[in-house]
Amino acid sequence: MAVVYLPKALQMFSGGNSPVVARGKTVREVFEDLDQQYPGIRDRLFAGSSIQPGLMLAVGSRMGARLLDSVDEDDEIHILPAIGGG
Amino acid sequence: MPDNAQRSYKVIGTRPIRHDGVDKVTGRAKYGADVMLTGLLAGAVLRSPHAHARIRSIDTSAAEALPGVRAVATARDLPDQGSRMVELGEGSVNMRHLSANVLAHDKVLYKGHAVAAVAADNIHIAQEALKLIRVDYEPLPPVMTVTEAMRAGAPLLNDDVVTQPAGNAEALAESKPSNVAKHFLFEKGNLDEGFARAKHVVEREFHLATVHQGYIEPHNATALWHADGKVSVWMSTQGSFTARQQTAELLRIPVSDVKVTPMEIGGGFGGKISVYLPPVAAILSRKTGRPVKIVMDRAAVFEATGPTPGGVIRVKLGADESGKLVAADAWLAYEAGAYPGSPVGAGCMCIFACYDIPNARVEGFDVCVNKPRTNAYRAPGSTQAAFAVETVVDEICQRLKLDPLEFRLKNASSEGTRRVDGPVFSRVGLVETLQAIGNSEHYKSPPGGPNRGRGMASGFWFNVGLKSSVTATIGCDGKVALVEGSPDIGGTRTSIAMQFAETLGIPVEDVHPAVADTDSVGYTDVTGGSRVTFSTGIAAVEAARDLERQLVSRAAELWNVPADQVCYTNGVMTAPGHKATFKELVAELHETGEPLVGRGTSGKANQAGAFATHLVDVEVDPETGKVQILRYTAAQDVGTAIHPSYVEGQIQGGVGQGIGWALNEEYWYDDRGSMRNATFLDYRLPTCYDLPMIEPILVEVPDPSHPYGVRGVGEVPICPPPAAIAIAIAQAAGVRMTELPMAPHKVMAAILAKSRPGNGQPH
Amino acid sequence: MHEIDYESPTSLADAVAILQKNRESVRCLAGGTDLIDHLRTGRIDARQIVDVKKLPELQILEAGPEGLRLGAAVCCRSVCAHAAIQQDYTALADSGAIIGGIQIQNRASLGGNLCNSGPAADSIPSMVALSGICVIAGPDGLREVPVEKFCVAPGKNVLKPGELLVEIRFPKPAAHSGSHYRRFIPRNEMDIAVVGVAAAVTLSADGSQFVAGRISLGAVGPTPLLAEEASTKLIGKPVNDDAIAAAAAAARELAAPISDMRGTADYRKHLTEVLTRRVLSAAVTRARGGKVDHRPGW
Ligand SMILES: Cc1cc2nc3c(=O)[nH]c(=O)nc-3n(C[C@H](O)[C@H](O)[C@H](O)COP(=O)(O)OP(=O)(O)OC[C@H]3O[C@@H](n4cnc5c(N)ncnc54)[C@H](O)[C@@H]3O)c2cc1C
Repeated sequence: MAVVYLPKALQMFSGGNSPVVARGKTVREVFEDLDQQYPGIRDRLFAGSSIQPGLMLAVGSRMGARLLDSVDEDDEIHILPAIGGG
Repeated sequence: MPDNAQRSYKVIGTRPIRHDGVDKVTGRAKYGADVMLTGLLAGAVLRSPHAHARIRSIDTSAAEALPGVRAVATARDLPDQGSRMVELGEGSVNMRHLSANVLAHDKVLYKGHAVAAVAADNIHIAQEALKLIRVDYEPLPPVMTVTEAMRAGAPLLNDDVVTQPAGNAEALAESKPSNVAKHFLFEKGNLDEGFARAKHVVEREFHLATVHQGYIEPHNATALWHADGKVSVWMSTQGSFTARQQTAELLRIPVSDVKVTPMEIGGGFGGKISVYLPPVAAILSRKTGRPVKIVMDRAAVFEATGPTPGGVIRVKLGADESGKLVAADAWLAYEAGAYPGSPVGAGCMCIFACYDIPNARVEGFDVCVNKPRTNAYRAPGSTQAAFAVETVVDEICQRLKLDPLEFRLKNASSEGTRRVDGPVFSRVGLVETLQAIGNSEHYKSPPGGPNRGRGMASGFWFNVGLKSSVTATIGCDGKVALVEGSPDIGGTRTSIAMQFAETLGIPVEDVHPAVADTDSVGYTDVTGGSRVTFSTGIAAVEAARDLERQLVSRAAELWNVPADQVCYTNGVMTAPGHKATFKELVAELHETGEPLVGRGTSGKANQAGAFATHLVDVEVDPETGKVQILRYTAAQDVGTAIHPSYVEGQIQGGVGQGIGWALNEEYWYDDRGSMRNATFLDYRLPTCYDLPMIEPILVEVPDPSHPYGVRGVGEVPICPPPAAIAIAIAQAAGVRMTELPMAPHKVMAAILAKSRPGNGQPH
Repeated sequence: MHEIDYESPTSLADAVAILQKNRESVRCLAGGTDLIDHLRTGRIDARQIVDVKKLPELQILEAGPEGLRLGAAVCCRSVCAHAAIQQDYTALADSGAIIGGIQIQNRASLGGNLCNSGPAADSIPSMVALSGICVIAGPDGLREVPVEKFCVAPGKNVLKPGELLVEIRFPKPAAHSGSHYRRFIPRNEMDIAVVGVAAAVTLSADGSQFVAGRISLGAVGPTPLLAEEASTKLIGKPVNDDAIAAAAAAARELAAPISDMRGTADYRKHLTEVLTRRVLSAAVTRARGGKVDHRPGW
């Protein structure tokens, strides 16, 4: 099970809980499972088939993860504001 | 100094002459302003005299009638964008806002906002024509600070901006237009419990001025709208592919119909990612059928291109008896400028990144004000945050009578530390930079003399990964043409070529790197986020490995031996009974088969962050408040220094800019929201007389996600200087500066306030 | 921008004639370090340029028992390099060495600095402190105006249409005299004076008393000014910190600065006092034959 850290804005779906656990071999699958558990959360995470503009994902300590990145058992997934470099 | 012998690198860690050096020092290198094309017209842009106004009408007829004027453009010539958001390589952008920034739609939101443009036979006619354009403005009250802009009832900049809430459903329901575009909130542990445990608590509020990247070369673009509908653009840009995409999206034409050729670039620092001129030059070219070149002047660069935000930051820290940080609270409001998009999110994520703190909370606000739309500037959002947090850390040390170095070592983030925004750090080198400062000659020799003080500060920046492409073609003489898509701002042609040469076991002088246009190389993200040596480096290493595989199989074919018996090391191919150097082999292969072309891409790998710790000595003139920087040492975790001189150069450059930000740089506005110092005379970048020799200490903690351990180095060196200098001033003059810049008149005012009876600062 | 006619007369009479003919739309060009910039940025407009560098009268640089004759077009580098100026009119050398960098100093003239009439001009206070007299040529011949009366408002001076500045004459300072100019800038180079102060003092033979003194302030009013009340405070006083402090305090009162992006009014008044003190001390050191070691910007 992956451990998903939800930003404040999404914790209203999880009854204020964070982190929460979800199942999946890729980030996308984890998010699909999350939407099963917390209906509606997907729409706040996705725009069409990609991640919402302005968001950035991290799997473990690696920032900038992508939806197809694989997720290992106990991996943490973080949903963060996007950053730009100078 | 990196130790090559130990790692047995041949090229990495050496200091070859840069491939583009001769052309640059002899004035042969071609910059955007040098572009000359047959039939070229000169373009000029009319800019708003108001900081905030509604445009009632624009009458261009008199300008159009002026002899020599070929076309006039306004926002009416730009296609409608609806309300779409588009991913533009380094973050997503609201296209309506981007379009209105390029040519104002119905409102101007800052002085200098582009309103109309002219193409004429020469620049003098174009400038005369601008004077003939009649714009009817309805001036509106300008909103110049985050404090004003967040106040209830403040004049609204954008009626389509609604606060994106950080939290609860109630806030979400409240969807009225606002100057606050976004609210961020990060929490860790239990803040109240943390502060309850704290023995010492310090809280301060900081005010930050708007500052500019200050690159020497102004923005420029030359566009030609071809008869077949394709568009060519020559320009100065940090990212040819994002420039292409922005231009195409703004014009609503297919992305591949635009070809962007990146010219040499005279600095960017984050400010040359957004496009301003290409769509305008393109429209003028479409109207005239001729190429159009537009070059900004310095005032336009200051008034209309991305500065980095000013704002307000409050920081409260609590430490227990032993000097362990137990609670931290921060509140950040950053100016977005005219349209949403300040780096406050990054500021929130960086502010406590140097410390392992169990209980913390960070709140951030992205706030629209009547200033140019802000853009990235070296570690966007982090320098402001470091100024605030490091100053408070120093005050805590002062209260606890703890040595600042020991305090930092005790509280430093390291592998396994969970940040306030959630993720856990992997292998990072903050502790090593602190130790390096502790062991430095500078640290061991006291500043000495009256009115002198010393300051130490650390800083953090993420560094990004993103995508790059490289192709490499081996010529018959054994030299390699290396084609990349990363505009070279800081010597990356060479640092990429060195990684390629190292991998293929050939001399770096035999690699000829070239930065190609968007039709001639694979997709490559911006030169920014300290990513090129890392990510384009990986692509170059991949291309070298690809070539190595081809060489092995071709050698097997040539020598008629099984491929698994062929071995390529250090530029020599061997097989039982056979041996050939790279050059010998290539010459033979050229005679006997197809060309050798390698390719490499990157995009999967992401960087661990970068940390720096700086030490500075200053002298403060107690009668004028002027601060002189006496000595500066910057220790930084640089992963592996591919070309140590360029790494040092990045550190020195970042520190130089940080010193300017600390001491004198600021957008100085009058009460009408008009910038009064839009020149390099009064916008005071440091000169060489204002900077000491900046001593870099390269700490090498390789990043495991890069084949040679590269870590981005370009951004983090700008983070610590303002804080380190503020701390040194506090020691030298006994005043805590909580406002940037720490210009002489402000330092003097603080000194005078302190000496006035009853006004002593808490020391 | 439009086209501009250029002439470089070699006689004063020709120069005056060209100036006369074009009156409103003509400008003199010395080093051009102000003029060209102002034309380019649209701050001024001109149809006719008269290059004054080939006029022999404007290139005079002579020091003798009568004093110093400084042609209006002599460049800063020549001023700085001149032995008599270094010795007796040292404040002029201080100013010349501050204006711009080496390239600018090879072009820029003190005459141009004066005729540009900026409130923060770095050579005007020195010329005032050293009692300079402007020699002006015009259709009616020559006339003389003391430097402190030359500027009338920011960018404005007493020159009438058809006139030009020929030279600035300085009386030879008495024995035991010394002068100094110093400005305050936020950076150490490439900046405009937030406050500039020049002082010339004459001491008694034993160096213990002020015999004469002239203090001039820049950037604290619409024109550089002669701080008379502050200057007279020195006369007859023993040379000590009290006397210097009293003059500096008086200078502060005379300063009437504005607040702008270069500094607040309060700060400028404060700096006037600090700089006057420092400048007087340095002028005293020079009057006593000592050397002043001053790192610009510090
Ligand atoms: C990079 C740079 C740095 C600078 N730094 C400083 C500085 O530190 N301090 C400072 O004070 N100034 C500075 N300046 C401004 C300028 O260099 C000085 O004011 C200089 O002394 C002007 O002399 P000029 O010979 O170049 O004058 P010009 O530009 O030739 O002329 C200035 C004005 O005087 C008029 N004029 C010139 N000669 C005569 C004459 N004989 N009779 C009548 N009118 C005349 C011209 O028409 C024009 O209006 C700087 C300028 C630059 C470009």
